[in-house]
Amino acid sequence: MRNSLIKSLIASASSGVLIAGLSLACASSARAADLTVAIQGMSERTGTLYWSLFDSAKDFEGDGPAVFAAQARVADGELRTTIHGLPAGRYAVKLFHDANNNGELDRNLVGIPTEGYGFSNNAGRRGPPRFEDAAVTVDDDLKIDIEVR
Amino acid sequence: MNRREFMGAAAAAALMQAIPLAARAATSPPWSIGFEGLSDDLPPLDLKVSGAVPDACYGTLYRNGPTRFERGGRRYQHWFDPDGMIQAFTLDASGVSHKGRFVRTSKFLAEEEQGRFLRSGAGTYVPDSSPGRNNEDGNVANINVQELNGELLALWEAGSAYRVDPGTLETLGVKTWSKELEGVPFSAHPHFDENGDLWNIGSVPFAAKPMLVLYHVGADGVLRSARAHDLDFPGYMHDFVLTPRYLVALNSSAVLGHGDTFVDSMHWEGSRPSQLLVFDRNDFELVAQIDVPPTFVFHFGNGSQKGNLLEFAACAYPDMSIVSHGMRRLARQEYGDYHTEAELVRYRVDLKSAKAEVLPLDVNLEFPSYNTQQPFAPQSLLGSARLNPTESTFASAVARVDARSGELSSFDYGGGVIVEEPLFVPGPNGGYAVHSYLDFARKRTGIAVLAVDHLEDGPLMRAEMDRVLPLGFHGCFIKS
Repeated sequence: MRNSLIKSLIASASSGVLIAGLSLACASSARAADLTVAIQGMSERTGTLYWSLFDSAKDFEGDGPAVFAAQARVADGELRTTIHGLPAGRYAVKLFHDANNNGELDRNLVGIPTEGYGFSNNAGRRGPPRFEDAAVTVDDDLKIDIEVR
Repeated sequence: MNRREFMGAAAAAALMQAIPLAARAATSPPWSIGFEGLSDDLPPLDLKVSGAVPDACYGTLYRNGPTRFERGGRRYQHWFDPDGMIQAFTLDASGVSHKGRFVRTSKFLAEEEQGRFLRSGAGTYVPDSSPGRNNEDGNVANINVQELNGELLALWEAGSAYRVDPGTLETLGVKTWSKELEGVPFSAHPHFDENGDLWNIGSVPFAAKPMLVLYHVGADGVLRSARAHDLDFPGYMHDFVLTPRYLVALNSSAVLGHGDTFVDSMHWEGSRPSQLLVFDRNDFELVAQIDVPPTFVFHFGNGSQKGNLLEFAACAYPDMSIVSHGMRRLARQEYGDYHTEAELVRYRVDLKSAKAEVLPLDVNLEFPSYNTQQPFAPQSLLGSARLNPTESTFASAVARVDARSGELSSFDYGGGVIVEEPLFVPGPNGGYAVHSYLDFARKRTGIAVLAVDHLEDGPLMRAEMDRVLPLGFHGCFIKS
């Protein structure tokens, strides 16, 4: 997860409610909408939250590039971002909370995450979800809530 | 076992959500008070004693087991699931007293605050529950309690141990052996060597790549080494065997797949051989991997070793119906005899030829224990046994079995009593067996002391209270 998020990282900001109001310059002629992503449930108020938006199963489930990615310093219990002018389509979000700021999602000896992470639709009860389980349809302005687990 | 009942239970078990209390059977069997559960800690209470506590048995019997069955109007449907409570029976010259306290796991505290189940259990799917970050979020610390370096460890098997104060029973926090081992399963049956060092496995069949972690912790409570070993298949493992040179684990033919809960994802692969895995204690290298007939084992006796020959006993089940059906029926407080029982078998493992013999002893025994002061000596096992049919289908006898000869001595309390894990307490004339029991006919929990060499004479001391404890799993006896 870390590589795909880091690689496609395109934005950062200071603290609190962050990077609101970004526009996707590449918006096509198709219908466009605003997607607001609200992220809650960080168990620590330290470190950085990394999140990425994907529009295909291949990229979401693999190591492909995100269509949008962001990082934000975690100081409050909630982070909220609005992406303006997103072309209509199916999108899924994955995120992790790098509470100790070492640049990665920490895992233990057996590879199980020990820092927070999450997915749109709060999908994935046992292991990472499939794109179809995490995807939301954006065809009009939409707000989604993601719980960091 | 009755096959028709078994198949009926299989159908009934398909419904395994945490069901509302109103849906429970109107008439529960009398023994099912042992699965009623508790909601509050238990303040100290003196027991009514008959007989005298032998001096050698002054000390405390600590036990752990699934205790909180219900919350917010819902009830767990599997015996694996309820939160653990540490029970302490203190025996001294003035008599016997009892107290109990829930282990304050992060799950327990969060659910106390919210007043409902927030996580699915190992065997119960809880609607609207959050999956949590990892296995640690479901830690109920409910299987065993053991002493290490002056502290108690409340043990689960799919997450960390919790530290508990032996005097106050207060929870002191999660035991993290190292940063890298944070949240890594630490199984519920650590074994101690002749120096008091602790050895354990951590079974991780649910990881992306199934693994077994091996631990060596000094008697000082400091981690000496840990290593993860990749498994050929994700079989269920609960206990292991320690010998002077080796650590022996059994990858069972109850294999993890996909499902809503851990138990639901387990299935019996009756044509897949189980696998004995023999590791060198010095470096945790795998030195032998030996196929044995398909089996399911919770508990082993102690291990002995003569050159390349390893010997140990196991309480072996012919399948996993105890987990998939039996433990559901118990938590659901239902009648029936839906699972196969454990028979004591003796393993003889020849490392040179990489072959293992499994010799049946034709004794029904569970909750085996032994003299932990002589961890590698060939010795008789204590255990709970069902030697006569009982209404509860539980053990009503405490037994001692020589796993080499099959020689058996026992004391049977009769069908109204359920005998819990007997522990060996060293003392004069062969030592003592100390065990708790539930007298469900009289609605009392008690504790008994018997002379190991004269089990058939019955208890030297019995102490009982007007307090019914949920039936528990395992514990330890600490002399004062």
